[in-house]
Amino acid sequence: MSRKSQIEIMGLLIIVILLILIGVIFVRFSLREKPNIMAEIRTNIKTTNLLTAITHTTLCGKYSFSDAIIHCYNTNNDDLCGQPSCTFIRTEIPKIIGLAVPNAEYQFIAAADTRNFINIGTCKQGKVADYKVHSSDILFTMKLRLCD
Amino acid sequence: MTAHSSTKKAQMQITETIMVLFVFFVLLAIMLFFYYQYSIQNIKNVAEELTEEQSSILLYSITTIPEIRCSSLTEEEECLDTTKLLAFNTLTKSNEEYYSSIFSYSTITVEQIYPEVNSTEECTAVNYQNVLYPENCKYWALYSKIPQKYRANPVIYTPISLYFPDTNEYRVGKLTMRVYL
Repeated sequence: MSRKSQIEIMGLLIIVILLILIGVIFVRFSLREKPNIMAEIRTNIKTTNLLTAITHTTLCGKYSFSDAIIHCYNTNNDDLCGQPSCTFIRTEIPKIIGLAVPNAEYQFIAAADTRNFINIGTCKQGKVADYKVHSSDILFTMKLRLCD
Repeated sequence: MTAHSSTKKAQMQITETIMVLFVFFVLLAIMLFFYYQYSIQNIKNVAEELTEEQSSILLYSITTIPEIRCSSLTEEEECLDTTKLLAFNTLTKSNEEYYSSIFSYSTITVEQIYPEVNSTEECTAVNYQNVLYPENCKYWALYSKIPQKYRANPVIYTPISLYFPDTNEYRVGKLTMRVYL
């Protein structure tokens, strides 16, 4: 009698343990973070759109931002629109990005062929949007990266 | 063992079985209730996520619609034409059914963010006539349809290039969509 009840209790215990195990596995899979692909896509599109907007922006009615960047490289900070071009870019790029995507970490790089001559920001992850333009046999590349 | 004690023992065992079954079904009912609540909440979350995803896709596709996109001699550019923005609000009002089927309950605005302007006014045909334009206004209201009641109104936005054909200049703008759920 005593042995039979012991066996019954063991059986019940095994069932309870199995149910708890199944519950734990289920909860673990439910709470696992799913990759948020949409957030990544949103950031990529914002990055591309922002870089396009920056490079096209008109300065003093006739130059674009990309012209200013090329001018900065070619003339080593000579004036453009009444201000030193490189200093102007280093001041205005953070301002524009701060207005467009507040509180976002970013990295903006301007390169002539493979040489980076402007590097602003600290973001090291995320997709890079780039914009290329040829001028005087040099390939200028402007890159923007936004961190999520 | 007497017949009486056998019967008593059998009755006790049946009672025990019934009680175990009762407790089992009560526990099962409680578990099912909690699972049901969890599933309902999950479905609501998925519905909200899908709505936000759909809205994001819609926002990015807005930048490509010919009614507001820059174009010159059939070539399209990655920017919004601000003269078209002025007309778009009127267009959405006169074709309400069509644009409601696309944008549903939402508000869509475009604002100029760089160079910064001191004004907070809406850009309208009246501001456009002024010689100070576009410095005398901040944003264009493209579309607005707000329900009487809504649970949430998340905002999604993207930077965008704005083109001003009158002065042939480009500025940095922000296209914002507020969705009403």
